[in-house]
Amino acid sequence: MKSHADVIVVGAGAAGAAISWQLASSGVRVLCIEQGDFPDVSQYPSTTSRWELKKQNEFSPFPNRRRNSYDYPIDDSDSPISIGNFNGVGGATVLFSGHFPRMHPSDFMTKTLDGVGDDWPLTYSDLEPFFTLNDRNVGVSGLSGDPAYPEITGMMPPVPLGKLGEVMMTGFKRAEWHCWPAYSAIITRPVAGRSPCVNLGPCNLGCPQGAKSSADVTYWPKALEAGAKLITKSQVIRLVARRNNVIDSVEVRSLDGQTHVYRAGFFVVTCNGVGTPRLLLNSVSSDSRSGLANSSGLVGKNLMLHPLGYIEGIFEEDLQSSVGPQGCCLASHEFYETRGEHDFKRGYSFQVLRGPGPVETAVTALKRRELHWGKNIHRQFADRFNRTVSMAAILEDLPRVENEVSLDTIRRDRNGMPSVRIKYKLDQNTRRMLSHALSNGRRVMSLAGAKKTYAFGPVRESGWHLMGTARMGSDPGKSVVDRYGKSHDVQNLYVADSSVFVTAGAVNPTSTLQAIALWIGHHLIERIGR
Amino acid sequence: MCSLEDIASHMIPSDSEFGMPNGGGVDLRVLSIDAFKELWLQTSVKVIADYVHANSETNCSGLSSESFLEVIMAAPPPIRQTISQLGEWLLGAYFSDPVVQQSLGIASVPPFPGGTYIAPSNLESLEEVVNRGPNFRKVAQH
Repeated sequence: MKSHADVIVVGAGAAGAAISWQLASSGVRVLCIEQGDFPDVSQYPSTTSRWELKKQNEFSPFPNRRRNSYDYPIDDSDSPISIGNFNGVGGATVLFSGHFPRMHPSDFMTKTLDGVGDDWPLTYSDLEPFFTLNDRNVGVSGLSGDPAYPEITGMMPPVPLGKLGEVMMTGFKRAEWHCWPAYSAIITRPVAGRSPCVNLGPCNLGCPQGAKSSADVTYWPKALEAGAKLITKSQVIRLVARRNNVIDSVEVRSLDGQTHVYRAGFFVVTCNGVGTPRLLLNSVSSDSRSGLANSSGLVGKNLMLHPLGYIEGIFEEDLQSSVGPQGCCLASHEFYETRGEHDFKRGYSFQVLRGPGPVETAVTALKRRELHWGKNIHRQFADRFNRTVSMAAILEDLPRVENEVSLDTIRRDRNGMPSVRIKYKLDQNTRRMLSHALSNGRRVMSLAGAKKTYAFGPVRESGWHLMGTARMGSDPGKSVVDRYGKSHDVQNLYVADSSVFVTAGAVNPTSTLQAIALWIGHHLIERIGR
Repeated sequence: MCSLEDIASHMIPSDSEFGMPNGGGVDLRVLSIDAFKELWLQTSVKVIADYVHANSETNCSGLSSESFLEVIMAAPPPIRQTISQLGEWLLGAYFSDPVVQQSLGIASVPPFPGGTYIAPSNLESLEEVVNRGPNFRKVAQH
């Protein structure tokens, strides 16, 4: 039967975009199928005064709150952390803040170094050329010379720190802790028809300027130009394997309810750490009753989410803290690595964010009983607005087989596909790490001059980093795919997103997952013979 | 009786020192984003109005802000919970209102397409960070 492409890529997010571009650029016939649509830039609320209200509803990063027609229900009631995503071209990068740090060299061998987690079947050095290629394609700003990494060059100037960044830099200096301008997927110079950042603010509601390097504005225009085909508003329900562990087609449901079948020689799944196991587990057949590529039983297991600690400081001075790219300012990797004096293994990073907008400032103060109705409300608000600095602690959670994504056959999406259940718990190591991070976060806020500090965690609405649920490895009994993302079980199936992560590191995963997608794409091209 | 605007005005009175309008003077229709929320709003306003009327000599519009707040702060927990939820919504409507934001000096934030200028920072103090040397773990493959 006629094939529709050499390779079908499922999902047009950060990883799907990168690998589609790479394959198409090498002359491979690529068809990418995406359940959502192209984001409508004209609807981004970032240029309106009501943006904070939209963030609570139709632009929420949490599908259970957003409930747009491309979302599927996620039951995360058995997890202290809610799951976030965005189903559309560009995936979660449409709503991400643009943090773009790489994982560290040690992240790829935690078992050897620290006796926890597992070693990856590849190294930072293996990925380095793909990090560099990805940075060039995406457009990354930052400052070279960071002692937290092997040399990284070729970046645009960092996004401005503003007054709040300078004040926080003083805090880190007093503590004698590492800090460095954030690596940001935000362009600060014009690039290939894209305009640089003009500090509009709420990057995580979509960037109307196009300065944020979401995959819909970086990879997709290039991929389409190179010949990749992209079908949107079409949901892949099932990968269909008919003989000897070879997939020959995907079953797709379009928005009008019609079912279509697309055939190809190779299939690459890039639906994120929740969507990918969902699709594999739903692709049952007589040969694979527990789901496709699941002879190890590890599809959906080892979910890692980066539990988040949140630290806030209130300052006397007006720091104009609500102004600037919302997520990106300073980062500290002082406590990234395992240290003998800690009562936990591995570590965490700090990210200094901008302060909250006026609505969040007011509502937070109300909940803390520091804003009271009546005549003093405006004074109490003024004491906080633009004087609040927020900081996140991103914790490395270790892979645990008990933390998992499974199918929920009771609740189904609009196409009748089972939704998912999340089961996730923090272990003792993470709890100790969290306590350390919150305490140190308050310390650095105080050293920076905060008159009042707050800290709590894990933050419930923070499950944006979805990793580990189709891990890579050399042993087919202990992993789902090999070092090139190829399924151990299915000859022509690849997984090329953050599902393949073996460990999580303590930084945002997008830079690393795109580098991995390019690494996998490179080897797939060699296999196809282009 | 008592309207949503009356309640908002009492909870968020105007303030000449800060140049802020009262809560009833902003567009509260943004709260009615769907039928469920509209119904909830109507019910909440009625619950509060009935309570205030039953516990004061007049209705909300006849009360000063201080008296209104005194009455509702003494309300039993279920009514206070309603007030608390309504209050959060009112803060959302109020502080996202263009007139209020103008009074805060952030009139058209985010200021598209001109943007906001943020001066480049002095990064000299990072020298100390660099001078402390690498703080990533050098591993065998690198």
